Amino acid sequence: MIQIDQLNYAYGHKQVLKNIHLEFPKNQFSVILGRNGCGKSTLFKLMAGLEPVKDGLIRYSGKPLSDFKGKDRAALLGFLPQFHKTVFPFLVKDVVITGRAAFSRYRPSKSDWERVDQALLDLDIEHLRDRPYTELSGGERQLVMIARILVQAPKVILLDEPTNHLDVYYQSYLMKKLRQLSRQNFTVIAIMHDPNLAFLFADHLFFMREHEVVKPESKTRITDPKFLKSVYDVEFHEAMIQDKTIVIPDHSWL
Amino acid sequence: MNMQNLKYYWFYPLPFLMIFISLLIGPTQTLNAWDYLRWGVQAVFGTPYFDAEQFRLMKNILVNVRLPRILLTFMVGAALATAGNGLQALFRNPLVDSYVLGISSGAAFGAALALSLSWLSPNLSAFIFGVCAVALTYLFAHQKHESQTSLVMVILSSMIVSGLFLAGLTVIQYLSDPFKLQAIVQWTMGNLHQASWQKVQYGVLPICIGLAGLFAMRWRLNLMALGAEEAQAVGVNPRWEQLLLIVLVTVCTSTSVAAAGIISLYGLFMPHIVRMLIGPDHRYSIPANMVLGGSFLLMIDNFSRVLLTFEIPIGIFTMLLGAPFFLLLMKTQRTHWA
Amino acid sequence: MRLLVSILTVFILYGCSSSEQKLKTQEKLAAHSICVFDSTNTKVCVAKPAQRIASLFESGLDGLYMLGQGHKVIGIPAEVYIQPLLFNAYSKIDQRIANRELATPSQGANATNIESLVLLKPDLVIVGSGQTQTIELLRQFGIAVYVMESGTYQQVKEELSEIAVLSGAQKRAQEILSFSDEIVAEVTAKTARQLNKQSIYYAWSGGRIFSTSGRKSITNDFIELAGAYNIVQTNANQPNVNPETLIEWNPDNIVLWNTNPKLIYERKELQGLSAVQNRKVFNLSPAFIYNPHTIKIIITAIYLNHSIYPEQSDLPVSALQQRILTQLYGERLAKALVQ
Repeated sequence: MIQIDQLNYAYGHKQVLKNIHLEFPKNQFSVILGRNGCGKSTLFKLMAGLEPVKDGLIRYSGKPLSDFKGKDRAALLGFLPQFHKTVFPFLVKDVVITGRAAFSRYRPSKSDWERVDQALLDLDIEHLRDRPYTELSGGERQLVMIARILVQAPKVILLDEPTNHLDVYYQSYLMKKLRQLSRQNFTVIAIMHDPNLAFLFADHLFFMREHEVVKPESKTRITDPKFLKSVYDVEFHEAMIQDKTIVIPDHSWL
Repeated sequence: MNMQNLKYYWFYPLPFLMIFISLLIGPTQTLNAWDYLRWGVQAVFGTPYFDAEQFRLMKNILVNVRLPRILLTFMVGAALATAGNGLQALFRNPLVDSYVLGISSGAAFGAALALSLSWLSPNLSAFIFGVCAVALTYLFAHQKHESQTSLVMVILSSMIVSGLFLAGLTVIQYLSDPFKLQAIVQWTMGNLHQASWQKVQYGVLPICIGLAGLFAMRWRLNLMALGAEEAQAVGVNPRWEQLLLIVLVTVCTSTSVAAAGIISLYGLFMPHIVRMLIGPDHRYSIPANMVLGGSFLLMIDNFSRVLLTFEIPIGIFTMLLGAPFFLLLMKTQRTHWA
Repeated sequence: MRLLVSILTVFILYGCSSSEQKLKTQEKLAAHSICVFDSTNTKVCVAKPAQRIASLFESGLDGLYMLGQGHKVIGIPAEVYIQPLLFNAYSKIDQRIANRELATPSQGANATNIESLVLLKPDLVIVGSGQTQTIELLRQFGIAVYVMESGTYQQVKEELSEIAVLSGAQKRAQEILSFSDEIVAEVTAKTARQLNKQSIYYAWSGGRIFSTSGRKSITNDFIELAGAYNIVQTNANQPNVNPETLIEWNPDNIVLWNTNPKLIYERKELQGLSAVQNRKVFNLSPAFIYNPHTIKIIITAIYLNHSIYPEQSDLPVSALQQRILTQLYGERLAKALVQ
């Protein structure tokens, strides 16, 4: 679905991405993991089209992002930005319906409003429909923004650290929803730094370290502590719970 | 139309009421509201209250003095309030006035230049330089390597442009004799008493175009008010819409400055009042600003007409009302740059 | 310790400078014998009649030429070169101005270059009352500064005679003033025979027809000298009127300054005014000969008097104007200035 070839990016003289080569499969939930400063946010910006690609290629279904314009672009790609504060106390339903802005030019249609109701239902937030957005908690706001993307219904959904401001309840809730969405014909790609949530919910995992993509050696598991140490510079211990593996940081110093 | 939606629409008949009342109000002692009502009766039923001479006089005042002024005031009020609303959405900041892009300094400079050279029309010159100021602001703020223009840069560059034009204005004032100086000062304070049918004719087309454009964009202003990145997140490139908004706002504001001088702070507090009554949704607040913006300025002007025999520039009234309001807002509102 | 020394130094320097200035001015005052009190009520003295006069006040400059003291002028205000009306008139009066030979140490009503003014070595400087800082500075240098206002007819006469005293032209001033008193008396006598005094509405130039002058202004003075009354009753200097108010007042006459009467005749809302219907809108042009801040205010008065009471005149207005101008400037200029 999404192919990234020989992508390089520099801010001035500082090389932020080195020769990135990635492939994200369709209708799957993929996660990119790594430490702060490894370049994953820059990768996100390039994939979302917020910065122009100068050296390398990012292709969506074989075509570069710049080939998609207007409605086609909106139908292809939607993303969740990191910070979303707003000054004006718009009602939640009015915020969500702006997701249709690329399709309905001057005023939203009846079917647009129906999509809004459906999206709010899917995310279990219909009770917030007529509340001012500025009164919501961080987690609720995040869900409203996700509802916006659902209403837009793009093929690819990109999220940058979506679980950052959420409490435990909303974190697992959101991850569950993202996985469900990938089964409902969306391709979901998220940037995260917490490995465990990714191990539990994602279909595919990619790792970055110091501006490069790193892969475990063949036959090594991704949860292998040696590999994870090379990514995170932290000693981990593996543990198996039911059928899933999680990792916890080493605490022998306690 | 159910009861809940009534709050969005109750004020729509207001302009007609206001215009009717305003026609009856004037500074003259002899021609007051009762006289006009009797005039109406005479016109319809033929009861001889006034002789032909007086009749002609009253008609002259009504049609040639009051009506153009009322129409001009309404147009300018609507233009300033709606432009202010649009800019507040663009900058995601409710503390923004319709003059924030540097229009007022450019227009004041243009008018002063015209008044001191006396072969140029001050209104046309004000319009041209107002537009120049906005163009310069946008030009300075635009950065090629960024995918869009940062709004903080726009504010900073508008400050630079304002500073330049104000320096020019000061030079002109410094070199002018006292009479020209008075003319310049009076022009900048806002003058509706020189309203004429000519001014109405020149102003009506640009303002109508500007307002029509803003009306068409009213839903998209919601998106814009959420932020540039939030717009891109749903596949919309905000750049062209921002540019279009700036053009529409500039047309509205420049025309009203050209017609009536600088009416301070009106484009700031009127959208606020509307927002307090109607809410932040621009689908309702844009038309409301047109209707209420025009009516309210008309009310202020009526007040100034009745209060004093001699004209005080309307900019003073809006400043006196606007400044404490602005202060109140600053204290109670939390602002931030997203 | 260093702080103390620097403070002391500052005090000493300050003390030196101010005492030096005071000494200079006191020395000069003691030796002078020709003194007048100007519009700021300050005593202005010169040792002998001034020979080098810089006038930064246009009406004062005009007065000097009328008094025949034009050859003593060494500095003029910049507006004489900048404003076409003034330049045309003064070029005819003084060849040096036509050739742009006279220095202009001022840029406008507020900007006087003190250095260039002092370098001209004037023994008398005539300034308008608005330039307070310039006046102070010049007086500190010990230069005689005469401050003019010319805000009323009375003041215009006083100031003309005071300038005459300072430049040694008292006899000529006497001639002019008694002549103008004669003219005013004639007009008054004529007006006394009028049954009803007419009203005048004065509109400012540059198309600001709704800006007018109140009762305490020079405009009011020439309206009254013309034998009419100002329809504006307030004392405010430059009030703006609502067009409705103007219509209600319905003045008998409208007077404009250097503006085409077409501007009034074309306005739809003013069609009902009697002044418009009876074509009694008068334009004071060429503006130079009507300047009310000089003794030429009597020309304005005569012109208006004859225009608003036409039945009463025995001579055409232009002849009367020529008579006055000849008395003030001489025959040749009198003809040249009206073109």
